[in-house]
Parts: sequence; C-alpha cells; structure tokens
Amino acid sequence: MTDRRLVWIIAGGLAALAIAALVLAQLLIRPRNAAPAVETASAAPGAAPLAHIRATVFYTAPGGSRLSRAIREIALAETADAQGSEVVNAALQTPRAPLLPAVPAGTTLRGFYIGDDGDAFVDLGGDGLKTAGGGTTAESLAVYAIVNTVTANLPAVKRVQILIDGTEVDTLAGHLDLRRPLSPNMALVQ
Amino acid sequence: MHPACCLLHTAYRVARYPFFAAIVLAGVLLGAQAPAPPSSSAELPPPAATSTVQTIVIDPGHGGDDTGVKAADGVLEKQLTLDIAKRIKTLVESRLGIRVVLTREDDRALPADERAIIANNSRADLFLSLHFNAAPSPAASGAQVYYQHLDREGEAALQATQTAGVRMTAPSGETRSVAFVRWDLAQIRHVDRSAALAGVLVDVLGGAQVPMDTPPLQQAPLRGLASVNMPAVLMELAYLTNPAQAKAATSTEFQDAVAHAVHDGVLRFRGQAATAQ
Repeated sequence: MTDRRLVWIIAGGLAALAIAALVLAQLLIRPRNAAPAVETASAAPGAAPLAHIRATVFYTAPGGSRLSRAIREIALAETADAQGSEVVNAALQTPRAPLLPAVPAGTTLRGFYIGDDGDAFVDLGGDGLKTAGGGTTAESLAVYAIVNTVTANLPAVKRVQILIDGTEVDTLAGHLDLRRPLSPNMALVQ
Repeated sequence: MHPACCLLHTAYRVARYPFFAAIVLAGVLLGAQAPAPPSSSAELPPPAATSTVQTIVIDPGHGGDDTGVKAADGVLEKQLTLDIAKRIKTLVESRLGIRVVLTREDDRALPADERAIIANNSRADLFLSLHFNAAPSPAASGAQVYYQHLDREGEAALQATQTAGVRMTAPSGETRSVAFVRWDLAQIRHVDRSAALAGVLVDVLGGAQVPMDTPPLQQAPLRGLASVNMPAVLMELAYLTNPAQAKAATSTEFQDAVAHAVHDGVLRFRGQAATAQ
C-alpha cells in the first residue's frame, strides 16, 4: 500500500466518523424541539420568544359529527381574559389533518371577557358565521368547540355565552339556543 | 321565593320577551271545597300524560329567506321539510283521525316563537320539528332525534314550578294555586315525556330503514323547542352535506318511510301514554 493510498483511507474514515457524529447529534436533539402530537400556534415574525402552555382544543373529529381533543401550544398570557382569547383563537384555527375545523372559516374573535359571576363571554364576528349553512350538528360542533375549549383551559369558567358582533343572539343558524350561557357538552366528544 | 317577587320576576320576563303569551300553564284548583291555608306550599302535579293524542303539530324547519342547509346539488332543506310535513299530515289524518297542524304550509319565514305560539294555541299533544342536517365532513350520515336539554337555569325553574305556586283568588271566590312558567322555559315540564317520544321515534325510524347516526338519540338546548308547551322533539332526518343522503332525501321512498315512521311513532307513543295511566 502506498503512502498516498493510506492518506485517502484515513481521510475517508474521518469523514465517515464526522457524518455519523452529525446524525447522532440530530437524533439526540430532535425530541426536545418537536413533539409530534403538539401543534404550535404561529408567532408573529420577529417577535420576542414567548412562554407557552399546552392547551386542550376541540375540533371536529374525522367522522364529521363529533368533537375531538387536540393539544396545542399557545402563548402564556398575563391575564385570564387574555388567556381566554388565546385558547379561543386556537379553536378558530384550522387543525392538522385528519381533524377538521369546527367553527366556520372566516370567523374572528372580537373580544373575550369573564363576568363577575364566572361566566365567560366570547364575542365572535366575521363573515364565516353569516354564511354558515346550519344543521344542528354543524351548529353544535361550532358552539361546543368554543365552550368546551374555554372551560377545559380556564377551570374557573363553568359556562360560556357566545355573542355575535357584540350582541346577544338567539342562535347561529336557527337551532342551538344561545340566549343564555352554555355549560360544556362532553357527550359530543368522541 | 316570595310570591310577590315571583310575580315581579314574571312581569320582568313579560317585558323582556315580547312574545310572552299567557304562560300560566298549571293553574290548578287545589281543594276547592277546603282551600289550603295561604301559607302552605301547594305542590303542582306533573303534566298529565294524555292517553288520547288528538292534535299534533308538525313544524317544517326554516322557510322563506331562511333556506336552511343547501345541498351541493341545490336541494334546499326548507323545501324538503315542507314536502315531508305534508306527507305526514295526509297519512296521520287519514289513518289515525288525528288533527295535524302545520306551522307553515308554504314557503315563508317563521320565527321560533311564532312556531311555538301556533303549537301552544292549537292545544296540541305533540310537537315534531323536521330538519335536515349539515356537518363539516361529507362522511357524516344518518338521522338524529333531539329533545330539550335543561341547563342550570332550566333545572331551577323546573323545581320552582313543582314547589312554588302563587295563590290567587278567582272572580268566583275560589282560591287557585297558579304556577308561572317563563315563556323561554315552557318546555321544561315536558322534558321526560319528550325524551320518551324521542326514543320511540328513534326506534320507528330505524325500523323503517331510515339510516341512523351514532348515537341517534341526542339532547341539546334547542331554540325551537324552548317555548313549546307539550312533548316536543326535533328530527334531523339526514345530512344534506352527504351527497348520497341528499339524493336519497328527495326520493319518494325516503319521504314515505319518514311519514310512516312518524305515523307508527304517534301510534306507539299514544299506546305508551295509555299504559302509563
């Protein structure tokens, strides 16, 4: 074996060791950065890193007629009202497949506050609700995705009243009675 | 609650709900010959389970500008509910001799309170609201039957009607114990029988080969049932967001199957009520 050939063999061995070290490092670091079952709510570009919490958020299950839980990372807020806004906004976002949205696309959160008696008020707006087709199932999924999400993450809140454009309404599309605050409905969750 | 407070509360509700129409549901003469002392609490009996179903109200959901669910092929919920309501009316009136009142007989918008007023003023024995469903996925399939869910306020109001009556003196001099029930909670005294009716309808729909959702029996706080003063259910007969179900819903076979199921359900419910007496 010539000296030149020996140098090539040693160089190749070092390169293989370096690649193996890199792969090992990736495998060791990955579990801390990416938990597969958790979705992270997108932060504004350039924003300072925020503390996050894991929230239980309800979306439509793949079958289309029940709710299903998902765990999402959302920003930790300083007040209960602000935290409520964070969890409702998570429920309004499109979930990762195979889950489906429960609240019609285009629905926005106008405000969230907790009354003195512990009932939470969720003020929704946007065109999504106005164009919602109706049906008791679709309406129940939309309403209870919000009610269940709020009560699951804010233990002090037992009931939720949904407002549309700042005012009390009879229903979203003719079925569920929204004139009073609603308690969570776990019977709808698979 | 002091009777005066109860009356004030009722007056407040009258002012708040414009359609508050005479919700004195349980004025019961208690011991006319020997009136109970005014201080005693008079317990009101539960609603009577009539063995004769003489009138039923069929409520075709939606109407007018409110089209309800629109299927991908353009079929409208408001039209399907009206078509099936008319089939039920024809079948039940001709075979059972029971009067069937439709809350609407043409394509017109009708608020929930007006539907309840029609039913309550008809002194009907049963109220069936017909609807077609929608879901975020086209996979959702099958019929559901809903009855009213009582929330915390409803439970409290129900308890109040069972234990607290207001004693009033009639022009004849008789003393009556009268329970005031809020217009928006009129259904609360009928929830048990509504649940029984819903269970019967789930059975007969399944027996008539109408595809059923899982679970088919559901409970929800429904706006359309809240003020109905009789056993009442809402039937979601199929998902119009499911193309195969939307197509089937327009067929004579499906609509006849639903009509016959309702006919059988009324018959069976009437039999159950008679047995219970």
